Amino acid sequence: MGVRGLVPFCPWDWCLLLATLQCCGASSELNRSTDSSAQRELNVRFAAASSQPAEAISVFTLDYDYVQIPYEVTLWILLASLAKIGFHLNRRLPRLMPESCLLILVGALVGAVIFGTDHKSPPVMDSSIYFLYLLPPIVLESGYFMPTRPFFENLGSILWWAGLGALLNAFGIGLSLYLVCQVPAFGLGDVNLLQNLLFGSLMSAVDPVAVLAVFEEARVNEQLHMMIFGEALLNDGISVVLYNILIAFTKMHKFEGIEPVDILAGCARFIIVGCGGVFFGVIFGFISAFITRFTQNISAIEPLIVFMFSYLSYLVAETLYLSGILAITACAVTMKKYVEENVSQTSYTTIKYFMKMLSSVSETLIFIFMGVSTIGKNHEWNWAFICFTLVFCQIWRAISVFVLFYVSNRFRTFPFSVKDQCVIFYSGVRGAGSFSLAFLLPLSLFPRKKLFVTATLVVIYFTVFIQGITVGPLVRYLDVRKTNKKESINEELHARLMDHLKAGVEDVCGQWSHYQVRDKFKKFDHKYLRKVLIRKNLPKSSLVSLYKKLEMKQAIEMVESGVLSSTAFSTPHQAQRTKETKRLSPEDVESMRDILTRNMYQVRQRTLSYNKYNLQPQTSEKQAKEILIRRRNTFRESMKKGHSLPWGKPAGTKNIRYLSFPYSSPLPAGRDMKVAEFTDHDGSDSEPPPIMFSTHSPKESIQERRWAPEVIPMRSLHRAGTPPHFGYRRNASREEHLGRGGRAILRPKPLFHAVDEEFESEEESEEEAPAFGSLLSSELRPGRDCNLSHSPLLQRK
Amino acid sequence: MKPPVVRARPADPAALGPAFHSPGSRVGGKERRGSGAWLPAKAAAFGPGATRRPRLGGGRGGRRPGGSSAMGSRSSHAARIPDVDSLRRETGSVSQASLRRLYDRFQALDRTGKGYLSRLDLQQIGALAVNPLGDRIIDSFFPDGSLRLDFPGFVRVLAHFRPVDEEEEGNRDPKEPEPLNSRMNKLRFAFQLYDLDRDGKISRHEMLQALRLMVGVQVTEEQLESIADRTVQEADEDGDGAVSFLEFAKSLEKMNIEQKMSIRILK
Repeated sequence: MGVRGLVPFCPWDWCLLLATLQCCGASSELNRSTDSSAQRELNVRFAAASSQPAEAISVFTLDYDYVQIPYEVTLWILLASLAKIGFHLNRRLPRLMPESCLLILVGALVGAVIFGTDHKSPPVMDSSIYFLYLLPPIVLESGYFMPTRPFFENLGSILWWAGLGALLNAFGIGLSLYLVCQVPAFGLGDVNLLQNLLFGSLMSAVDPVAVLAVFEEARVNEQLHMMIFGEALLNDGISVVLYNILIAFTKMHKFEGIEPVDILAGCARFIIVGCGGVFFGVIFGFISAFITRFTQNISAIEPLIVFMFSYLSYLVAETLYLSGILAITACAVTMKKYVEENVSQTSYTTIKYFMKMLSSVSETLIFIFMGVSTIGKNHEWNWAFICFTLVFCQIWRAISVFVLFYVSNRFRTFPFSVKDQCVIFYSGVRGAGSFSLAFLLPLSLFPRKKLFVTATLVVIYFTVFIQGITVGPLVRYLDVRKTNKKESINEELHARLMDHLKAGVEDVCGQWSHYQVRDKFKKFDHKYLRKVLIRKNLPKSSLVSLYKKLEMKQAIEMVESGVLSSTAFSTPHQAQRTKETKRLSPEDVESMRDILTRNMYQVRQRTLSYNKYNLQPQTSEKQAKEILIRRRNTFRESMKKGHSLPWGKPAGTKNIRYLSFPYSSPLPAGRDMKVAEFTDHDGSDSEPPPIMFSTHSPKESIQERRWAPEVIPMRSLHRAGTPPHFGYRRNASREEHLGRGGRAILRPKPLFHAVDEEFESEEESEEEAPAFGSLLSSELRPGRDCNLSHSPLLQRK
Repeated sequence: MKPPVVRARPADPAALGPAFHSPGSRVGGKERRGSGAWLPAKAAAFGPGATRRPRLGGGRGGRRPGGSSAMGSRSSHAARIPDVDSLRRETGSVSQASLRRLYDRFQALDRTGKGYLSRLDLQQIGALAVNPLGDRIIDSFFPDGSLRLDFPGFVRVLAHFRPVDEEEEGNRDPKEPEPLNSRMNKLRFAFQLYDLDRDGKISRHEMLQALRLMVGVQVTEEQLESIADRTVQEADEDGDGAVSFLEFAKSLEKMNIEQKMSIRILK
């Protein structure tokens, strides 16, 4: 037995795993059936293998028991991932239903396999595992990805709604179910009040984020988005606190009666648990932000710091019987802002992806347990209890939504409309949280745990499938604006133009806040916190190379996508054009409209889109980069043409989040001096310094133009041979001073040559567009050496 | 026999009232934040620090030398706005509070305290830089190629975006010129974003330029050109291959311009 070592089973194991993978990969579409059969096979074989008694030292043995838990968990996660791939390969499915539907189905499938093969599922899910390992990543993720600013702007309403809503739901459902239990005909007499309240508290843990992705495309307004997000964020915490307190009461109740003092103590405890958790979270958030200040030389551990401190805050809070969930949320929210500015870009990406990954693994596991426990014999079906649970869940959610919003609307300057309230009501989808809490009920205290679990499952299935699938259409139906879809191209275009215009003018007007507290905090933040928590000076080289990388990546993307789409679409359209411009079939018009709707830049939004299951590259970020690069491109053109440009002082402005920049990076003096000759330090438009480009022969400038696409990402790399001219010198000065960084980036040349004309056509057009100003954004580089503007109108008039 | 081309339709009260924030309205919570400031009761609670707020709100605006000079009590502050009364008359009733706000914002944007805004000042507004139409929007603040934007000019441009007030509309003396925030003026403002050469027509070329700005790079030039052709064709009624203002207005007949081109905070 003892000799049965690693060597024999390892290759075998891997072979099997590979076989599974290949099996899955071969039919790369929606292949749940094949997966399942593969796995069933596996399970059967393993079951058979592990049951064989081993008598003597054998050359070839199998120790499945040894690896069973990690092995099966790995397979589950893989299966869920493959299913997700299939789910997203299909374009229509993700819009139709939330992804949790899919996860539940996968879970049910695994459950069926396990049930069918009579295989005992590994006892992975128990209370400590759930609370110590599965829950924290999920909470951390939602805390970290919360849009901080709108959250605090709506803080009052969110707290009111999420806090009181959860309590109202919990007690409402609990009490009304208790009344139902009093009816002797239902046979529920032994379910006492406390148990009902506990059940209510776990039923009140809604998971509305699951549906956020579904109606994202319907563009719900920002307030609504925030309310739903905030509810998801705080709801878990509140219901878990309530759950724990009620469990404590139940334990106590077993031995002695509960007195009013105890109830008061419970209320006090509720508050202390919540506030204490938040307090510890904030403390740890600040500590981790402070520590990331010093990690510049060992950036590989930056993500570790973030994760460990968040986890530590959870553990510390739990040690003190405070709410770990609220602690980790508060920690994430606190540190996010500072950490993101401190850590390097790669660490930032790592943090984001790792967080998503961990939380999705946790959730997948929970859903699989759910599936496993759905299909099995551990159910107690009581029509009355289950139906009433379902009904009360809806009723109480409706009551709490309409009552609480009725009250809070009186204090809001911009109340939530009835439509908004309907959407909030309808988004009350129960998810992994409720199930876990139900699943973890101690059997000793809850003799009818099975009943609770069954009822929870029914509610989850009902809400996830029925509500989750219909919420998208509902939002679209309620959204009147979307109903008159048949717009002419003109309307479509002009409407978007006006949206951009309005957004732009709003930006000019500035954002006015009436939250004194927030402004106070901001002041405090600028004065003290940032100074302590944020690195003094980032290494400049990383700054520059980062910008270059961004720029190049984007340029390559642009070019590639341009090539792709030009090969894909251009021919038919061109043929169309040469044939007859007047006659366009309705399909063509339709396709044009389609192209327009899909490709027109979106109006900037302040809440970034959030998807619980995926981390998409933010379209807004991509779009911003694209716009900036295009402008830059134009700017280069106009500069080459010899426009005189007023130069301004750099502004310490900063906008885009994904860059880890200091709030105001002090300009290195040398750089300033270098550009001083080009810089009008008065920062006004008074007299642009006369710069002549006499060295430019027309021919040369044409050549320059041809080169321009290459220059965009790489600045002066290819320019060594060309005579010095304005742009070159400017770049060179920067290059000398800052950029050892991204200098040696080499890129396959043909890529750009192949698409020269793509760029050129754009350039040409931009040249002719005088009003397309030439702004080199100060966004990407706060404290960059120059800001440019020219006045096309002057030229024109 | 053409139907009246543009009707100055009364604003739909539901659209501008509290229900303004229907789900899907892009306006989002933006105005909501600004809103409290307009309630006099709340504004009073701001205290002397109020003048600083716009700067903080538009945190992207950056620093302004001599910021402390902008601090002051409300009354003295209001007095410092040049020509308040004539400005109010001219721009329709932009409220006192709004004017004060705008003046604060104006000063915050004017980094160097020179008393007027240059293009550069506006270009340094972060969000505008990534607005595909940012440059055109900035240009529209500088009519006729001027280089300076003074406060009355600033307000005059923004007055186009004041929400349409229905009562006011009803009481208006027909002899008076249309207020800046009328439907036609709003449309005209949008129109001049297209019409670069100010000839009163959007030519095919101008349409194409606008499209180029607003459409991502995935769309090819050919596609854009055919879209531009089609767009012009669709709106062009007299067959001159360009869209005149009247044609432009007509193509947007069904759209609720009053809502689309109004910013709540400019009440």
